[in-house]
Amino acid sequence: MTSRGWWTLVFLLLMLLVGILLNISALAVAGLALLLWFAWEWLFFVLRQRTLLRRLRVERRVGDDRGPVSTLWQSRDYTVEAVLRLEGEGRFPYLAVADPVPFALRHLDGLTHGDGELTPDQPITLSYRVHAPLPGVARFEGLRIEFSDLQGFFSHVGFVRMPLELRILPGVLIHRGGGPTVKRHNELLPPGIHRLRQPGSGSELLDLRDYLPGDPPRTIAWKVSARRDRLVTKEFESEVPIRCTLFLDASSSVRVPSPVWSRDDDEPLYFKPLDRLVELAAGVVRLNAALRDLTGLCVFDEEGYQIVRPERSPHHTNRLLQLLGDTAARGPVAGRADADALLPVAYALAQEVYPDLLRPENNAMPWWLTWVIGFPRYTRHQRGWINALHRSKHSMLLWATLLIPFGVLTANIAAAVFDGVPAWARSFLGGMFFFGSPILAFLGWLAFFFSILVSGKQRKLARWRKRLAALFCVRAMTGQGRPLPVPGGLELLLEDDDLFSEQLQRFLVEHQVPCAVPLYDEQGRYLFALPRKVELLGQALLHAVSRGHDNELFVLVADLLELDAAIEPLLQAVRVALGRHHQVLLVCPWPEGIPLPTTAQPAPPPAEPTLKSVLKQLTLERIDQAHRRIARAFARLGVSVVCASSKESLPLILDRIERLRSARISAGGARR
Amino acid sequence: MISANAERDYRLIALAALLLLYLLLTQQNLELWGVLPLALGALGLFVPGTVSPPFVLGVVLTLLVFQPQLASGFPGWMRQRTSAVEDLLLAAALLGYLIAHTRLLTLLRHAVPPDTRRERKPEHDRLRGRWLLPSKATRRSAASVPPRELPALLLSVPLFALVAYLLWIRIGVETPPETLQISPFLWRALLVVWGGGVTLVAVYALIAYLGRAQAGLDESLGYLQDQLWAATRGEQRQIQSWSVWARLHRERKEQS
Repeated sequence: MTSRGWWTLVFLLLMLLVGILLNISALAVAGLALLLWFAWEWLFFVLRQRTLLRRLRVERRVGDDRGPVSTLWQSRDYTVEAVLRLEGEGRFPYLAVADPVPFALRHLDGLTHGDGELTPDQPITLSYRVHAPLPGVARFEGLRIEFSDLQGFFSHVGFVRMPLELRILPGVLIHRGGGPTVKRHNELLPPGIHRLRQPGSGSELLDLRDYLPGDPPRTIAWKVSARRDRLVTKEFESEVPIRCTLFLDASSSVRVPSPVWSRDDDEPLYFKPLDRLVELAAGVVRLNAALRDLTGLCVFDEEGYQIVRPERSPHHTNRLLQLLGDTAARGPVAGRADADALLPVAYALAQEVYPDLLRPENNAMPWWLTWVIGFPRYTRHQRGWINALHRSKHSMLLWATLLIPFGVLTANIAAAVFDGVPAWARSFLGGMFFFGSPILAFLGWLAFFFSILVSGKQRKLARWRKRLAALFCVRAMTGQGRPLPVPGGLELLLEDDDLFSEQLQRFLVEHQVPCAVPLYDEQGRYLFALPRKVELLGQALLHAVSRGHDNELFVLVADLLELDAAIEPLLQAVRVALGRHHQVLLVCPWPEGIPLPTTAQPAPPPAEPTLKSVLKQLTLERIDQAHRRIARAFARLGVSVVCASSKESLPLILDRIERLRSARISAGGARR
Repeated sequence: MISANAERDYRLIALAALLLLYLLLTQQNLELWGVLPLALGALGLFVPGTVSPPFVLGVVLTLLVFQPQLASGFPGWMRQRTSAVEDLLLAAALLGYLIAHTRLLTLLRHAVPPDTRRERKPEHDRLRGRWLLPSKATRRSAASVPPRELPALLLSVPLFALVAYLLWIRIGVETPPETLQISPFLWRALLVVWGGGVTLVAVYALIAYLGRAQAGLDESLGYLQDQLWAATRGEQRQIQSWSVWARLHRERKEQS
């Protein structure tokens, strides 16, 4: 009931009771009439809330000028139409609808909210236009509804969940420059447009030789034949494709969003290094498709890798782009991130999208529970003494008022029963019983009340945590999210900080909510340094090498800046690849806002050093040194390292890739 | 029905009800005081948010309670009796005013109370309309008012007044048991409170059952899980906290 409803009800009851008690019939009849009408309105409101809400359905159409689409493209505009329908009989006299725009899309124009009466014959329709700024997945969750009676006495906020995920494929990157290059030898069949220095049916002249019976007459070089006085025929080069396999890093370290505010609105607010890498990979895929080269893709992270073998068909290109779109939608997950930092965002999201599963009748949290116990009992995170007090108050109370007094009592009884106990020990135990235990109990209760007094925030977070844990368990039971043990999953999430943190992050990632993920733990360790992904990248590279046909081009697009000390498995795999006459190129995502190493000048020490400037200077130096170490390690093998930073660098990188394979192959067989 | 019409119609109905109320109050010799609810109500209608309908109800309640003292030409101890028609008309006037004014408020102020989380302003234009972020209070757009709403209102007002009057007559018949030495007025009040309370509890139980019976899979699973947790949380806590301790201990040992 709203405040308007409560105030009205109070005056209605007052009118009725005063009218009856003072026998003022006008007042009593008026009060009775108003109260009856009020009860009537309440009854219908509650009946609608209990029965009709479950019969709401959302129909959504996303399309462009040519009609409905099932896949979106980056940098294009689309029209979204959402229709809220009521199935069966009944009506909502007043219902307000809002369609939350997915984070992957940008609202252009048109209303994302509407209201009115909702009947089975009269749906509410919203229509608006959006722009897709980045590749990834646009997730439409459903419609947020608010309904009330016509007077605004009662209201209910709910959500009609009807998730719809649409891939946003990477846009077209126009690459100028580059072109056919020379390939030394090849085992593949033509066609392609790379020149192979072996006789074939290309257009470039390779050599002249004596005519042999069976040679086509049109290849006879007549002028040369006339000069030499014998028939000489022309040999042409082959035109063949090149095989390029991209290894795309999709680990959590490149999925961490960082807020970037640009001057124009076209730039995304939350930028992930993965976005840039996906754009780059899409550019390479398209460039190769234009050159009729075969392109493969391997997406790897800290958990595994997925390889798509090089092919050339349009269907294959489309498949690669869809895979890139899926990859771009991934979010960061760090197992050791502090759950308390993410809890408010996740709870707010759950309140919006899952209000029915957070209602106290389905998901109750006794108000007194957080006063008595605190969870988790054991955690790796150090959250201050108030938190420690909050978590240990149950044990503290138990020891101070029960275990120690009873222990002392038992010891006293034992000392009285058994002979041979020294007198001083008996005196000590007696003192403990009469003075020590009461003092200890008093102190325990004092600390307990103090912890209740100061741990308001912790108790609030604990309530939110229980509700979210129950929600995660229900989602797991219905096949959404990662499986959890049943029964016991709820309590496990309350006690296991790491598991709850992982579930929280996956929940936020699934709903594509950008949030500030903690990068370092309490000990200052970088949470997203994942040596496992280097091993997996090495394995994936070896896997590709073992199935490679020819001297292929392997482009490793991987974030190794924080892993410069753990790249040995990758270096071994690169050595194997080079040993098989393949070519390797490493592209490193470069942090936004930091000058590229080629252009970086040694920064002068700040005139007035502040903590911020010193930290920035140290960070720059650390990144620069890490890059130098990586570049040096790969340079020893003859592998170039390119940094991908801003959008402008993408064409440069593509050009670099093109020049690299051109230079390497055209050197008359010299591989490097 | 266009926007201006919906607002205008509700204003007119509310004003008509206030005028009727004024006339009924003048019948009780409250000519001067009868202007008060009329003026306050009209102020609330034309300057929304200044005077709310409960306030007008409170003023009417006060005037009727203190009618003997405030009425002109009557001794202070004598209350003027009202006829059945007057009672019916007063109930209808108050009901009509309350419905019209509150519906006008949903058009001009808000239909659903604003969320306190929405009071914070968004930091950037692009964040508007996004999750968890502020938006304007939901106000009922007058263009969405269906045409049949007004006739339904005009029909419901006399209906509820008539039902209330019949109920009042029924309550008036009740007399307290002889064993209870209480006044008949208090007995009637107790009857109303008791009857209303029992009806409320019964209806609420029925609706709660209906909601549980029609709950979806998610809600039912959540409910069952919560019941299990409530019954066994102590034991589960012991098991899970020790397993977490063992894992953390093992990790610490491996690190060292």
